[in-house]
Amino acid sequence: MTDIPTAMTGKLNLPTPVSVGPREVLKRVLFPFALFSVVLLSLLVLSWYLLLPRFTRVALHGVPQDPSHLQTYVEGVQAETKKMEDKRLALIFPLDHSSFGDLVQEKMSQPSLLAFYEQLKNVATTFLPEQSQAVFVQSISYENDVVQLKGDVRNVGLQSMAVVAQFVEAVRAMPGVKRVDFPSFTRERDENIGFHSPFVIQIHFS
Amino acid sequence: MRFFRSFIGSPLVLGFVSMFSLSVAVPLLAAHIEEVRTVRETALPLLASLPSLERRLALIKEQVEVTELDAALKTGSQLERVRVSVLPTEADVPKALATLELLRSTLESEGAVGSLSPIEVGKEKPRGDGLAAVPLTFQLSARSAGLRRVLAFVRLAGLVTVGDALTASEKNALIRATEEENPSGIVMLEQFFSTDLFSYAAEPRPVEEQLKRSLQSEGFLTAFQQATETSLLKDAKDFFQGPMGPAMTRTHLWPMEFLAIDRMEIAPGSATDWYRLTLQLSLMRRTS
Repeated sequence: MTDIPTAMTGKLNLPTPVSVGPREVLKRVLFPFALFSVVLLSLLVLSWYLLLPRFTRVALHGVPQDPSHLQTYVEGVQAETKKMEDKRLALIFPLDHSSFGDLVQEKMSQPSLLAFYEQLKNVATTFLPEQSQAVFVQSISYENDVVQLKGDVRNVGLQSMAVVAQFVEAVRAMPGVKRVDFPSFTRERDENIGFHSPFVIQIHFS
Repeated sequence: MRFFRSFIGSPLVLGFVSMFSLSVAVPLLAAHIEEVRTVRETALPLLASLPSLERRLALIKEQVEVTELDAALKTGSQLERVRVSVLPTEADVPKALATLELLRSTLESEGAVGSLSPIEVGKEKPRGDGLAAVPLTFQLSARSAGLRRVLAFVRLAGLVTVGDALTASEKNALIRATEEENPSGIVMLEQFFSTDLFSYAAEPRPVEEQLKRSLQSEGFLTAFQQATETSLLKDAKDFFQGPMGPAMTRTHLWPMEFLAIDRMEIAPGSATDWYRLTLQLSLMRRTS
């Protein structure tokens, strides 16, 4: 019979634990890790060559094709359509590419100066809500695709130059305007109209 | 077997295999994701739009075949009219001055214009593209309505057909509308475009009715109404249905010689709604 009190108080006769070095830990961890990496790579390679093409191919006229081939094909159709559109236009308007056609195109693409002038007058009276009579237009001209606007800002005292800058910004925001060249900012004093800022603005269309 | 055992027992070899496999696997995984994304975002929308693109290409090819039939005949007749009347080898300055005088007298009788300055005829300048230009400069006082009509008339000077008086976008809108309804209707549209501008503007109804009988879709009729009611064609109708039309026929002023606008200036006049218009025009002629 086992002597229980002696056994409880006596030393346990267990084997001394063996110390495990980092090399052993590394070896045990690295093997599953390497196995996982190799299996993952193998599956991805198989998927790339066998599985992915099956799911990403698109049927073009019943024939499975690569997406890149589809892109090329669509670009080809679009280029052919453009070519045919040009050919159709050339047949309907046979003189379009002659010197007469160029003159007509140049004339028809000129902006309507009168319509633009009406828009400018509207902008000149509304861009400064508190002073609708600040901008006076002396003339508007069109030459070589550039509109030149001559006028001056008055009735705003010493603020006239700032108002010119605000007016230029308002013109720049008009539809169809590509660029507005800043005028030279000056302030002059006239006996009749007081302080005023004459300006010449060059407006380029888009 | 021993080699394999030593192979899997070597941390160096296992580490190398792991790193190599992962360094290939990660980009390959990213390539998978990219491929799926490309198909979803690019290929599928392209595939969806392809039938309509191919259908349109077939329609345009059909229209080109139909149009080719009478293109050669039409080109010759239009070119002849341009060479004889619009861009002659000798600039007919008296004819251009007579046309401007007719415009002034017509608008003056309507109260739309006031005084016209003497018309200065400058020295001819070669343009280098087989054309030469005779400068014409004058000033005119006019009401805003008169100003609009003078500028419209100058734009009409030198245009021969209905198609010439339409902008590229207006022409394209009409052509596109025929694709959707009746591709062979392009022949009727082509005939409309090549109709003499003066004849059409003087009596537009028969030409318009004939075209509307061939192309009746709502889309086409909307584009057609837009093109005929808001373009330069409307100004042409206003001029040539009025007293100017018969006067131009009587004095053989149609087709007009080509007038290009070099410079135009508008300045407010001293009275309300009156303006001073300065125009620098070029009367064009062929040099060869």
